[in-house]
Amino acid sequence: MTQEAQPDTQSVLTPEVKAMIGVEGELIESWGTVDVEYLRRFTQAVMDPDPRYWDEDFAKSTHYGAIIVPPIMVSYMTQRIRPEAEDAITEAFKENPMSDGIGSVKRPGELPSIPTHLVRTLNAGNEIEVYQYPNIGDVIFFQNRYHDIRERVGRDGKAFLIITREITYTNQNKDLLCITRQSSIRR
Amino acid sequence: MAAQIRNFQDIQIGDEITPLLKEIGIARMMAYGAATWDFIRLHYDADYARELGFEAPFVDGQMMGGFLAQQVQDWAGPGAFLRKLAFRNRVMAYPGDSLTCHGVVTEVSSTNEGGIVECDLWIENQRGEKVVEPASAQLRFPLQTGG
Repeated sequence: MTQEAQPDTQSVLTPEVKAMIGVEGELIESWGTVDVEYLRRFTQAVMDPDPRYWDEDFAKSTHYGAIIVPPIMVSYMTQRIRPEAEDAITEAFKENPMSDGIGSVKRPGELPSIPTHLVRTLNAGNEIEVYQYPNIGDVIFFQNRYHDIRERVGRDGKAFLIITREITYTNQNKDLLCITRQSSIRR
Repeated sequence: MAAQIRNFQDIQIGDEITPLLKEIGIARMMAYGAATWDFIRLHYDADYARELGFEAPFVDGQMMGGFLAQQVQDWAGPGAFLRKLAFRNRVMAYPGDSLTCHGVVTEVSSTNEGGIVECDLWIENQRGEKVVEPASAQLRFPLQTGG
């Protein structure tokens, strides 16, 4: 169990950290479009044979009238590195032969770092709110934002942060598709 | 498969969301990393994972979201709209694991937008450990038919 920080606990929710709540990244156009090949690769990877993702005749018979795309799939389009950018894998191993595979390569639209001495990061939950299923041919735009930063105190009496990052996804018509929120613990 | 039609009117609190079994293998983990442009070595490089103290490469936690979305969508049918999904990873999943997605309906309500169904979800491995918990989904159904 955790609890809110007490007055005698050294707070890690400094004014500089608090000021990061609401900070947004640039609005980024993801490279490429939502296409059938990406849809096939994704559904194969998660072993989802649902015909509404590949059978046009079946899809026409549904409420949506056409093939649709799992909303969670477009959230990965933020990871795409544009071809004119430095290759992420090359860069990662150039800086460190024992790289984790990503290294310190900056993704487009990244948020500035949280100004804290806390370095250990643990996943604290994921959430997706869906407003509209994406369609084949959609161009995806996304924008990062620090949604919330809270302080809690662990069993050891030390304060830590729960940082929630939000990404908003829209299409070429500015339709809101979905919002993802990922919370992480910073100790 | 998701081709079944489920009518909102037939759904009740306590209904089981049909379980979904996923057998995890390293090739599937590689396929997932490639599909999602995620090159983190912890998900495919056994030597690297062991050097960092893990027994083997482990499954990308986000993959669980794909499994849960499929589970609820398969149960709900093609007319239902997955409005919200939330989940928290608790235990690592490794190649060779058998993961079963479970769920139960916790709330049913009619709104102007349609029929709303709330579910609690979780994923267990073959040892009965909760790999994902808590998790939840909210689905929206057309009020007249599920198709």
